[in-house]
Amino acid sequence: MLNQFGIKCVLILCILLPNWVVADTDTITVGIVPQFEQRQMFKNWKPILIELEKITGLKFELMGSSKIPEFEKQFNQGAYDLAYMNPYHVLKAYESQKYIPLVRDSHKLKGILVVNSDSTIKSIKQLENKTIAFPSPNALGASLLMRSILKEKFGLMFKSRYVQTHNSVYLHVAKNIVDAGGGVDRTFNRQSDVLQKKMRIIFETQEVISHPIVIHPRVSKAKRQLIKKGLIELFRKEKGKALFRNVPINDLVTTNINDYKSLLKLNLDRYFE
Amino acid sequence: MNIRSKFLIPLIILVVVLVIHIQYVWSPKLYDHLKAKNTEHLQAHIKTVIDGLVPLILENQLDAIYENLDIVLESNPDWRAMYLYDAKGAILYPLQANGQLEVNNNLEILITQPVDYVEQKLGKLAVVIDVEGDYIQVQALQNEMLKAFLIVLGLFIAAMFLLIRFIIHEPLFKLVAASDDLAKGDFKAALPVTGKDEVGRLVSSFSSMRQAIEAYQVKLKKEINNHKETAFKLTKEKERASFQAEHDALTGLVNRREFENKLSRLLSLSHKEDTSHAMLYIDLDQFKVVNDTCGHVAGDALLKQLSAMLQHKIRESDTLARLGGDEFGLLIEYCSLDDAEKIANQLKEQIQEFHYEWKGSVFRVGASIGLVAINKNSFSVDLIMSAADTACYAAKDTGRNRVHVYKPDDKEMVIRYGEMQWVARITKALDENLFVLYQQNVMLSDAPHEQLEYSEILVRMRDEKGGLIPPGAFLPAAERYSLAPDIDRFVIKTVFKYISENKSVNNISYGINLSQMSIGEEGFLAFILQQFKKYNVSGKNICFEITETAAVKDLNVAISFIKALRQYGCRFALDDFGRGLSSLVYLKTLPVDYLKIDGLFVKDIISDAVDLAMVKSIHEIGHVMNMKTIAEFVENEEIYLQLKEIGVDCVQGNWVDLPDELTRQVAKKKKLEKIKIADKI
Repeated sequence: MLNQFGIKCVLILCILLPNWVVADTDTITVGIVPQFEQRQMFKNWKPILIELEKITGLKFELMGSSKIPEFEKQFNQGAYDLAYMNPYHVLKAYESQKYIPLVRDSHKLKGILVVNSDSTIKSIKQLENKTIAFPSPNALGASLLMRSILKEKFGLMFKSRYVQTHNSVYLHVAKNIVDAGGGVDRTFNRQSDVLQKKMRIIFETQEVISHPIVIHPRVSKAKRQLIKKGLIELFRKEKGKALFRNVPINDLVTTNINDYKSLLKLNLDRYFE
Repeated sequence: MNIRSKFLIPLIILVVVLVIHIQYVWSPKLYDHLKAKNTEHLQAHIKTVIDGLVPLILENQLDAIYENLDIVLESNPDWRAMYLYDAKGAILYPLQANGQLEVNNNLEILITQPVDYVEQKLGKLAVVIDVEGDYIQVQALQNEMLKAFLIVLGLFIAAMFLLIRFIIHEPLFKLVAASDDLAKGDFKAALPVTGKDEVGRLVSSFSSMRQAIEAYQVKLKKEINNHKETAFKLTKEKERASFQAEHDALTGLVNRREFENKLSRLLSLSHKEDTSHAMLYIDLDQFKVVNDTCGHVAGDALLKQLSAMLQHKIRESDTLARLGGDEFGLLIEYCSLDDAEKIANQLKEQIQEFHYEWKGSVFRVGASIGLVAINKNSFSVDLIMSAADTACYAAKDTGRNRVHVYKPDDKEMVIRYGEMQWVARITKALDENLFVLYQQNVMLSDAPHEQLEYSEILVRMRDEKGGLIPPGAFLPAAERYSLAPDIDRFVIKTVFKYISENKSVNNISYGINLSQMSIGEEGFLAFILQQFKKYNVSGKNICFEITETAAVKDLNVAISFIKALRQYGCRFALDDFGRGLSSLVYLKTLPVDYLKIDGLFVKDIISDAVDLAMVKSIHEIGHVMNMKTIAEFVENEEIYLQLKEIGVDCVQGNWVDLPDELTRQVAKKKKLEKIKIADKI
């Protein structure tokens, strides 16, 4: 089913491809970083876009992307008018397509390293030569920053296993498939109590800026403003707030590219794959 | 138990068997089948789940796997649990797993399928599926089936009962009714209308049987009617036979036997009631003249006419009977002797006045009537009959055509009664050989003391004292009481024996008298012929003498008798000719050799011119008819001379030869021969 759906999405993308190059069309294409499993992603974002359409009068089209590398490829090619991506992606997207950050969660995120609650591992040192699961190579808090710290700061030798999503990381840890897993506090807290109890956080990174919603510069300034205002307006509503909480964006604030340039200092490019 | 019950019981058994079968055989089988089918289906389903899982496993998308399997479980409520194992056997899903996945009971099944990617073994997926639904489904189906089955069965039974009712019950009941009707004799009771099934065949068979019985009954009725008819005819026949037994065929009058029966009843009646009745014994005079001259047919016709006339004259309560020949009897009930005598005289006169015509000739008959009273003093039927007969005889004897009343002290009666006493004596004499034979010669008139024509045998009876009784004393009684043939037999035997024993007399002819009864008796002729043979006697030695009356009594019998014996050389003499008042017509037909003129005419021939004329006439007629004439009662020479003058051939009498004992004849013969010789000398 999922495969079929994926094939369908690809087909739709192919058909719509010529539209992307035409700037400032009535329909705004939307891309979401596949932090979660596709269906979850649709479940979270579709209601937001519907509300946004009501507010702005624009049409939004949610474009799926099952894997992070695929997503990265798409936004580097400017496939999305509007996109939600991780903070390090923003740098890449700005670099390639000059995507402009519109809004973000005011809360910052921390990378966490979890082990199974039954595991004997209590310190990072114990993870020498062990297998650690990560969502994807370029996930900022969970993977990019975490790997850089583990290697740079702790000089740890480990095997990385990329398991696509944060949830997948946690499940891998909970089921003892891996020795440890890299996630972020915000996604960890969203896991069920049962799952959370099966894990133990043995390390936290410093706080980093949260995921922004970016817009492609080909979208007219007026529309950009319209969308930005729309998002803010939506967040002001209780209904909107609840919808954003699923993303998760707990506190919507406006942002710009400067907010993300600080990430360059972390010198993570070596770990970007 | 009726047919319905008999149908119902197997049906109930069938239902029970079917229900048990469905419950314990069919349902479990169906359940197993469904389970197997379901398992197959589930395996296919699980395979699609696995197909979806493979890429996720390959990409370590465990959350996607969880998401997927959660959805699968959510959308398949009967999938109780699902475990996903990795290649090493570790449980990937669910998050919280307790040991191995197992089934708890029969209502669950465990399906485990490998999760492979090309040749790479990724693990396996195990699912425990609750199939209680199937079980419930089977149960429901089973219940539905049973319900449907019972409904169908109910309908079937109802239909069956209706069918049984219309096809079997009603026709059978009708048939039973028809059968009952048939038993009551109704052959037309309506039969049930049926098809050609078994009941139909039964009905048609019953119908055929009924028709057959009906036909048989008709036949039987016919036969019964026939039998009835036959029985009726038989009764008629019997009645006729009885009538014939009691009546005379010719006249239709009561016959002698019935007459005697009635007389007997009357006699006992008179004894019981002290009443008086009377019996008449009527003998017709001159009837024989009609019978003999005009033939039996005429005689019979006369008797019939006369009977009818008499019957007409008497009361209905009186009984007129024909007692035999020309004799009639009449019983007059409740009648005094005087009245009876009056009636008898009236009848006598009426008979006398009765004119009978036959082929132009008119005949008159008379009647001699004996009258006897029947009262408490009467002794027996036989005595009454005998008395009446005697009285009748007396009437005849005293001049005919009169009525004689029997009175116990009557002189005539005494004579008749005396005759009766002779019967015993004659019988005794025959038994004790008391008869003695005498002989008297019949001589040629030319030589009345020398030339013997034949020797007449005379019979005498010795009395108790040794004296001889002349035949005139006992012969009438013997004749009257049927003893004459016995005496005749005795005479014949004795004479034949005598001839055979005495050679010296075998050239002599003996004249033997035969009574009328002997001539008429059946077997008498055979007796004579037997004696001829026995004693080897020639017919020439015998000359039978028959009285004119005897010959005339039954002329035809007499003629054939005479003719038969003449063939053996016997001769015949007609005795007492002239006394019987016979018509001369008879003479022509009787083939006799001698005519013996009655002595009554002969004895007074000298003094009575009429007698002389009679003798002359008779002699002449005899001669004309080539008969020799013999004159009896030749008592003296005067008579002899007169007879000789007339030309009578032979003479007999005391002047000619005195009767003598037969045994002495041998000596007498010698004397005769001497006389003859002397004459010749």
